[in-house]
Amino acid sequence: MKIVKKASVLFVLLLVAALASGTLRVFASSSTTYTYAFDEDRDYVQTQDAYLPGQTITSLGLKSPADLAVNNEGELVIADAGNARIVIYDPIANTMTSFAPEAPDPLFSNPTGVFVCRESSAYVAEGDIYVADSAAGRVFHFSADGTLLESFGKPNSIMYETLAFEPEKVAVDKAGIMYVVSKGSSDGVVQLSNTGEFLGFFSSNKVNLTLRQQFQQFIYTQEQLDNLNINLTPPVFTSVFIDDGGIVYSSSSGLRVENIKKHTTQGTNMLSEMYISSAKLVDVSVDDPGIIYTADQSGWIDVYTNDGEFIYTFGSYLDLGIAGLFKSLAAIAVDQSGQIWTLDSGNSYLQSFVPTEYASTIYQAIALYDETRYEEAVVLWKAVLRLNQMSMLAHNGIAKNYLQLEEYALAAEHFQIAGNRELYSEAFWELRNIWLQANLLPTLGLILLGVVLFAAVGLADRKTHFLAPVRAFGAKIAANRIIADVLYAKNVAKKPSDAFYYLKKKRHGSYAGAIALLVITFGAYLLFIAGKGFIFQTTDLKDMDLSSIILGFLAIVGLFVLCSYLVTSIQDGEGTLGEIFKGVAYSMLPFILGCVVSTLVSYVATTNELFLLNVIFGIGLAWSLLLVFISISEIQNYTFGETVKSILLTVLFLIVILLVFAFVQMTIKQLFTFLIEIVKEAFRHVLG
Amino acid sequence: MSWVKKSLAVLVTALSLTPLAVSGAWVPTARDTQENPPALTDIPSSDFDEGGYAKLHETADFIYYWQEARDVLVVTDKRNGYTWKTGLDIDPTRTKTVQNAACRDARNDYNDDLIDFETFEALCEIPVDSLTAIDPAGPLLANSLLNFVYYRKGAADSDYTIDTVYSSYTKLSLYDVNSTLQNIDGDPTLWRFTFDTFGIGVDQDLTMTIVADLTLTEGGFAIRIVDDLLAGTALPYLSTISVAPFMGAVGGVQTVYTAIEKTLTEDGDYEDESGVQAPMIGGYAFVPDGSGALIRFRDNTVKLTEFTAVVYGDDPSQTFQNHELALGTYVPFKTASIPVYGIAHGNDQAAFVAYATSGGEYMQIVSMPEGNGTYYNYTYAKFKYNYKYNRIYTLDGDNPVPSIGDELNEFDAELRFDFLSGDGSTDPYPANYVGMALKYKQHLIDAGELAYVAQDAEDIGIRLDFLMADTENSIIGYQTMVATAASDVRTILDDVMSAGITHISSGLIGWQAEGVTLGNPSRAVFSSAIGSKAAYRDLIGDFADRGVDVSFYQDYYLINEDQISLYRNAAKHPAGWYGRLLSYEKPIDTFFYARPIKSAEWLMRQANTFAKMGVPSFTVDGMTDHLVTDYTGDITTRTDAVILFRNVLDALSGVGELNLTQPNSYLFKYTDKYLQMDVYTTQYLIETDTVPFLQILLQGTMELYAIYSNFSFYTTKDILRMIDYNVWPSFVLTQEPAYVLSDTNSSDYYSTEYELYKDAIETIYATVNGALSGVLGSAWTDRDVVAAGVIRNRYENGVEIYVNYTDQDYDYGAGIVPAESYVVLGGE
Repeated sequence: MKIVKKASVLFVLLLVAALASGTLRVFASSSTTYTYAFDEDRDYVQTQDAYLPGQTITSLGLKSPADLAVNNEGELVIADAGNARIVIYDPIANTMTSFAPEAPDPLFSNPTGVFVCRESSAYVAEGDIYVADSAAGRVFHFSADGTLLESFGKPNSIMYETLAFEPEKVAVDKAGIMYVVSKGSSDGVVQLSNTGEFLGFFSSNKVNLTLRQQFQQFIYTQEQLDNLNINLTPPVFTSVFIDDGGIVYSSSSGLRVENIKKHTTQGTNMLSEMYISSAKLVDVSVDDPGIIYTADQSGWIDVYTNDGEFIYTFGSYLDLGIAGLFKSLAAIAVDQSGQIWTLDSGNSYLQSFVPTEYASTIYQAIALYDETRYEEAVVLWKAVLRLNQMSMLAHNGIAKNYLQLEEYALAAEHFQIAGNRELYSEAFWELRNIWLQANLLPTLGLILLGVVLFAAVGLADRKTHFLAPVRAFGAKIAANRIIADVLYAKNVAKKPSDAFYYLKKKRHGSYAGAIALLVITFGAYLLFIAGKGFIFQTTDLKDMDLSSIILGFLAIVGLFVLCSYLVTSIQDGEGTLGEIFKGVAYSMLPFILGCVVSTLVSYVATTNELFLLNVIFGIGLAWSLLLVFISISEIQNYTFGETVKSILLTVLFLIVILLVFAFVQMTIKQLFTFLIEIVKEAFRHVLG
Repeated sequence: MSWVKKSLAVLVTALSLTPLAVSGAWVPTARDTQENPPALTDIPSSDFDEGGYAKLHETADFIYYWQEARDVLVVTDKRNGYTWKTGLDIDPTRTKTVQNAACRDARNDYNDDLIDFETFEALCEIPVDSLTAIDPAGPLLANSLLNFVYYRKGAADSDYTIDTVYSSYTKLSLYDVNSTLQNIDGDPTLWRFTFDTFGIGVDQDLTMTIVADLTLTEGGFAIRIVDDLLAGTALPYLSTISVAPFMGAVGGVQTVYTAIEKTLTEDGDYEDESGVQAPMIGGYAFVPDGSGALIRFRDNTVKLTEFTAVVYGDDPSQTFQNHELALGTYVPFKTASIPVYGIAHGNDQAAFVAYATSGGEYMQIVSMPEGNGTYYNYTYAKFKYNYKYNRIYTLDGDNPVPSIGDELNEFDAELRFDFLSGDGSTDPYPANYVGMALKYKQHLIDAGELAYVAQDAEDIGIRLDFLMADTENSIIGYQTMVATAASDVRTILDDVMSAGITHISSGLIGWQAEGVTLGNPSRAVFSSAIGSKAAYRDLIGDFADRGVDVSFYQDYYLINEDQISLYRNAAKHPAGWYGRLLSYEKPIDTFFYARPIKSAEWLMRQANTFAKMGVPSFTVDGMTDHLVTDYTGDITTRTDAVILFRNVLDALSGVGELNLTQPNSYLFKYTDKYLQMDVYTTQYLIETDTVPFLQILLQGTMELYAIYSNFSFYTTKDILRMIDYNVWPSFVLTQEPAYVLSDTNSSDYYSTEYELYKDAIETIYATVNGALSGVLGSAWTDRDVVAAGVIRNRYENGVEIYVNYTDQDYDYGAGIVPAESYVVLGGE
């Protein structure tokens, strides 16, 4: 099923729920939501369930829980914000303990962030718990048993003086450096030393403006900009996480750009080109092998590879008390066995998800690739493919391994299915290289042989005229009126001034020839937009609207000819409508050649040679436009300046006509709909 | 052929994905059945000589009492001494104020040495149910035999709120109630309950009369709400009637009082503590969600949404206010295909099963979790009479006006309660979900709706459906993508048979010229690219000769505009527009619901064509588990639709076998093969267990086929579930790779190519057959959880099948059930 996921919010508005039966027959499943992966067009498609709802824990007495972490014992450490306490829950033994600081120490007010240290160092001990409390304005540091060791308030730094310190989330590295997400802070993640001194802002978010907004910024007055209400505050950070290797990850809520960041030690983002499905990310978690899990407030859990490739997503928003569907997903954590644990802050319960064999296999395959065990990875990816033949991830994964194994043909095949043009091009380059290496000498030899043969045949022919019948046949064909007329375009391209003169004087060329040329032009254009090699053909033919292509082509050529005639006829032009038409049609040969040649080249070129395609196509187009220019100049007997002026006016006129036409068409359509509805209404009421 | 293996030594399925270890630790979830609930140690007793109880009747098993003041029917089960009440039977006058006063007086008397401490304790330490604080609705809801909800019409036409009126009644408030129980014709088993209400509505000027006939039956009792006797000026506004909502309710929060003995220095006193959880008893409610779900009684610390099931599925015309629905991104909720629920107290000690014998098509089953409002876990049935919808006046559908239906749903609602006692050693019906299923099964057998069928096959069956073709967008119009041709079906079936699997049935999905989505359900248009009429006839005939049943599959419920004209074919919502479903799929994204009369007509018409081609069976989808009220011209109600569907299937059952997809209970009588059987529930958070209620109910009366193994139902645990739930495997197959259909509406079938499933079919079939062939034709008599994650199923022929879902071996005394495996004991 292809869906636009975020439209799910819309579904909810449309109707709280499309419940059980009013629905299509979709397969029963042991899960409650479907798992969606990408197809080759990056649309969502269903795949085998990656996770099944595991345990639902409703007995902990939680109230608006906000964050959770997993310690090395597999216990869950929960920031139970509504009850101002930290809960430690053991899911195996089903036991819980809780703690909170006691007076005279600073007290919890609204503990919304929790982090557990996984390794001991000189600064922190394994199991230490850090808690961020925005209302208390402090970060608390507890030992594993809940003893308060220290707490940090607003840092004493001139740089931080004017800013509020309301820690919502916290993560701590082995040096005891704290990374704090402070409520509403758009400056970035606050970095505090192990003694609570302000070290600076670690990473910050950028404001992303649309092109239009940038343009408005450029030309509007401040008052106008204020009225526009463009949000100029960058997206806020929602969570920060540090994996066992010390890499800092952060999530942000806002636009769908760089919502998840995997930071370098300097704070820059290593995943800048990552696909982000969600605009309301609330949490991020990373497991030992580096798989990235994100939580979206409306209940979606997305999973990515360690380098940010989207694997799949599952979950949904629905406040009907069903496992795996959320009212308000608040936090996510992954334990050592790969189980995902989530918190619903709206309904205050804990929900786990157990990975299926399908998910485990994918993670193992990814890990094997990273360990350069390509052959084993291929076996696993094949197993994944057996379970989902449409898995682009698997095709891509298998192809990457084949690429490393130098199985370029197989790699190319799978990249092509996965729609991965970039890596396909790489595999293709290798294939081409191999082919060239193997066949270069024979090919050159063949070409040489051809040249020699050609020369020999020519020589022989000159002596014996044995090719006379062939030549006569050729001449006979060329003498055919239509073919001769079409072939005249060759002369136009070569000597335009003379050729257009003869065309005007009707010594050469004809309407039939012109029409035939336009048909060929259209064919060549269609070939160019729909028939290129895989690397360059980004749109599938069946996704194109043929009628609008035809209509557009005819409208542009026809309107140009008509407008040009109308403009030139009041500008002392000498040409008739038909002459202009012929002039335009006969100018098309270079364009036709440009289309055909670049299409042919696209089958042997790789992305590196994109410029070659563009150059070929560009030359053809430019040449044809130049010929159109010359044709107008010749046919109308204009000077250069007059021609320029006439063409500019023609284009302007063309645009005006198109606008008027669009308007009229809309009005007529409205009228038509209205009439149809009247008839329908009459039917409804008369016939029930 | 000897498929019967004593144990599944190594389950190396072709699908077991990886040679590496997959974390397989068994985590118990709500998809499993947990161990039995704790037993009741002391059976509560009531003193029927006091408190206004009138004895109605006594049979060999039961004594019936009536509590007139609170409208409570009391049934004492003589077999186990357990007393069931249709309401909580709490004294609405015993509020905290009253009890506080009582405690105060007693304390004063005690301190004045007028009474001793024991008397003080006895007078004071009476807990007060928190329901009495919800004044007056709390105790009324908990006690009433019936209550009804009506739409209170406000000042504006579109202003409707709802209000509830209870048959039990204590003091004057906004309205007046008079409810009485009278004997009919001197027959001690027949009683009539009349529930008169005056002064309801915004202006307090409306009246309502509900008459319910109470029959004291052999197994318990039955309540019938007689449609003809519903009366009153408020009748057009009647929304629902609920029956005995608190029967079997468990939980509650109390205020408890503790008397304190006086000392030398201090006077005696008492303390009170509010919000004390009343002692929970072991047990559960059974609700018909998917295969069957249990909701165990437990103390939730958070409020959770209640379970609500519309029996026989939602009605797009009445369940939803808008004519337009959108398909969610989640798995569709399971349908309650049987009008049954039940409650069990203790461990195989006392239980009842309640089922509708009339009016099931308008029944809803509700289970309220502990933690919400009343702090009781209660489960009950209600019946729907009128509904709210959004009337549309504008062309674009904007600004809809909320309205209520012009006509009430007409039906007699009859709910029958049967009581179960003990662990099944004295009768076949233990006081648990198995007993409930077997009791209801017996009822359906007695009513002629189910019958055990003799089984002469030696092996279990397998369902192999074929996905033939579907359409995708093309540069002009649509183009049909063929995934399997008739000749491919022949090749594949031959291949499967050559592996020794012979008990096969197959449905051809998308057999028409335009495939699944655009194939017209009212006609039969063949194409040579998929299969010509002759090709199909030969295919079906040849395989029929070899004992393989090949039939055409058709959905007669969901239609689309590019498939068939909507005019007079699509059902109308009361809003006046065609009900529609937005699926967000490609190329067809909007679906409509076929009018029931058309579904029946099309099925008949296509079946005629099929019958002439010699097709041995008919595979029907859509109309088997959906009921839509159609507002075209004369309304076709859900009741009409049930009759229509029963008639057409009755006619067809004489012509060929019927393979029905998830049929509702009114079609069980005609079902030969049950397809796509759910083995899961919707997984509401409050559901704690999944049980094979539907499977126990239908086992032996028809062939039960599981959901397709292709889609997330192929792992070892899934295969074990087939064995545990006694369902047979099924697959959907294509000749071509699945991605041929990736741009069609069938893109959800993402893994179907036969070549990939060949080995899996053989392995899964062999494994399931190894367990279940030994119990073919033998009735399933019991199922219990012998240890966490280990199930024992018992059959009439003495065979016992142990299924071990855990990752640890299980020692059953005489041997071991290996981890993630099964053992078949006994039998031949």
